[in-house]
Amino acid sequence: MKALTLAIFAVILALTLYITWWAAKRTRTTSEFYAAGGALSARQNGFALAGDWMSAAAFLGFSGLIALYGMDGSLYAVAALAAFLVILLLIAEPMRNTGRYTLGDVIAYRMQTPQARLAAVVGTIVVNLAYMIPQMAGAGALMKLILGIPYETAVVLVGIGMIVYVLFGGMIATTWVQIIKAALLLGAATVLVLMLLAEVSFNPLTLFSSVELKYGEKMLLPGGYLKHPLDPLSLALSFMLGTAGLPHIMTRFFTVPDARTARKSVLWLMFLAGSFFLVTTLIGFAAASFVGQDAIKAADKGGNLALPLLAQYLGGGAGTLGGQIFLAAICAVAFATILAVVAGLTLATSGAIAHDLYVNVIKRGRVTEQQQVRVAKLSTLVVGALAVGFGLLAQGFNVGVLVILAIAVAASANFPVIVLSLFWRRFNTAGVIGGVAVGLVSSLVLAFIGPAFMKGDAIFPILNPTLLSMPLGFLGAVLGTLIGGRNAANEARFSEVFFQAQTGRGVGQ
Amino acid sequence: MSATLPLSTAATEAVPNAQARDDEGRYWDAAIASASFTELLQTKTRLVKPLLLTSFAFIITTMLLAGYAKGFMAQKVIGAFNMGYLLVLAIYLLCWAVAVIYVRTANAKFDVQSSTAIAALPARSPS
Repeated sequence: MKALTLAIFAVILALTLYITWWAAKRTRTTSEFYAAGGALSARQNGFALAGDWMSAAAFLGFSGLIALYGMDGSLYAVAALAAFLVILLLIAEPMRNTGRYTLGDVIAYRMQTPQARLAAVVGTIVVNLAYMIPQMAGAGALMKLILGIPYETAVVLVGIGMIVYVLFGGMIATTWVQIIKAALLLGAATVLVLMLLAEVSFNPLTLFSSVELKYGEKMLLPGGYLKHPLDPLSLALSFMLGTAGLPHIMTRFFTVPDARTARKSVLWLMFLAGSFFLVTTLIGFAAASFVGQDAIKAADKGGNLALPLLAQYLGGGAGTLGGQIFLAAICAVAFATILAVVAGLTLATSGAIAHDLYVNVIKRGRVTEQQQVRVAKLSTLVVGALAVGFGLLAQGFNVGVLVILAIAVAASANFPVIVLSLFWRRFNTAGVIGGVAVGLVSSLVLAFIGPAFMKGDAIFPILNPTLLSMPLGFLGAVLGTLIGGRNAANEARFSEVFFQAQTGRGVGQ
Repeated sequence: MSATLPLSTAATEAVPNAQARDDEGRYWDAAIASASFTELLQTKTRLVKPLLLTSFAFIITTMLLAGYAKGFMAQKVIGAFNMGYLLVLAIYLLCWAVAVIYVRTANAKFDVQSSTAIAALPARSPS
C-alpha cells in the first residue's frame, strides 16, 4: 500500500518538475523571475491566489479544528474569506499600480528613501519566515506519518523541491505549480463533499444534528477553542487586515498587467477559496460523525488529519483498496500544497533580499539585468537553506504560535505602513520605521506572553494579539511621522503617488 | 521624470534641485485637484465606503456575539442548525455579494474614469 502512496506522490512531483522545466525556458528577465512578466490572466492569477491562500493550515487545519471544536473552526474558515474584502476594496489595485516586484517597491516608491525600503524588508522577512517554518514542520510531520520517512529527511526533501521550483522556474513555475495544486485540491474537495453528502442523503442538516447528538450542543457553539470572549473578534481582524500585509499574497498582484485584472483575480479567489472554506464545516462535521473525534485525535493531537481520515473512510475504510487510494491521493495533494506555498514564500523572501536589499539599498539600482537574476537566484538558495534549517529546529516546537505570529506581524507591522503610504499625505520615512518597529515588537511580545505560547500561565489573555498590536502599529507609524517632522518634498510627492495608485498611469504598457 | 511609471527608486531618488522638485510637486497637486480625478475619487468613495462599512459592521457584530452572546447564538433555526451558523453563512454570502457588486461597478466605471484622468494630464516638457 505504501507503494501506491509513493506512486501518487511521484506522479505529482514529476508533474511539478515538468512545469519547472517548461517555465525555466521562459524565465530570462528579472521581471519574468519575480512577476511572471506581469502577463497572467485574471483566472490564472485567481487560481494561483486561491492556491496560496488554501495552504496546509487552511486545508488540513480548518477541517481539523471544526472536527474537534466545531464552530470556532468555522469562524477561522469564514475569517479567511473575509480577509480579502479589504484587499479587494482598498489594496489590490493601488498595489498593482505602484509596485513592481516586492512590497518594498511600493513603500520606496512613496518615500524615496532606502531606510523606508529597509523597514519593508524587515517586515517581509519576519512574516515570511514565521509563515514558512510551520509549513515546513507540517510537511515533515505529515510525510513521517504517511510514508514513514524520518522528519529530517522530509523537511530536507521539501526544501530541495521548493528551491528547485524557484531557482529554475521563478514566478512562472511557482504560479503554475500553485494553479495545478489549487485545481487538484478543489477537485479532491468536490469529490469528497459529494461523497459525504451522499452518506446523509444530500441533507447537510443531518450532519449538524448528528454532531450535536454525538458530542453535545457545544460543537455548534463558539468557545470550544477560542476561550476569551474577544478571541473571535481579534481572529477576524487579524485575517481581515493581516492578509493585506502578507508579502507572498501581495506579490501576486504584480503578476497581472493592470488594476482591472487584479480586481477580477480577487473575485476568482473569493469564489474558489471561499467555496472551499464553506465546505470545510461539512468536511469537519462529517469527519467527527463518521471517523470520530477519538480516532482523529489518536492520529494527530491537533486534528490535522481529520480530512485525510475522512477520505479514507469514504473510500471504503482502512485496509480497503479504495480507502488507501483516497488517503494517498489526499495526502499527495496536501504535500503538493505545502510545496507550492513554501515556494511562493521563498520567492517573496528572496525578492526582499535580492531586489530590495542588494539591488536597491546596497547597490542603489546600479546593477545589470543579468546580475539581478543571478543575485535573485543566489538569495533563493540562501533563503531555502535557512528555511530548511529552521524547519529542522522546529521539530517538537509549538508551531501554532508561529502561524499566529506571522499573521499578527503582517497586520501590525506591514498593514499600517501600506495603508498610510497609499492614503496619508504627511506619512514619512520615520513613520514607516516607527510603524514597522512598534508593530513588530508589540505583536512578537504579545504572542509570546499569550495563551498560544504560555498556555495557562498567559499574561496576555487573547490568543491572537492583533486586537492590541495592530492599533499599536498604527500608533507607532503616526508617532514616527510626527517625530520625523514635516517634510515639504515628501508631502509634495504624495500627490504623484496618489494619482498613480488610483489611476495606474503607464502600468502594463 | 519619465512618462512611464518611475518604479526604480534609484532613478528618482536623486532629484536634481529644489526648483525642479517644486515644479514636480505643483504639477501633481494640480493633477489630483483636477475635475476628472476628483470625479474618479468620488465614484470610488461612493462605492467602497458603504460596502466596507456594512461588511465590517456585520462581521464585527457577529464576532462580538460569538464571544459575548452564546445564548443568542444557540437559538435553533432549522433542526440542529442555529443562529450562530446562520450568521456565519450570512458572512459568506455578504463577502460574495460585496465582491460581485464592487467588481461589476469598478469594471464599468473605474477604468474609463482613470483613462480620462490620465488623458486630462497637461502636457509638459520631458525633464
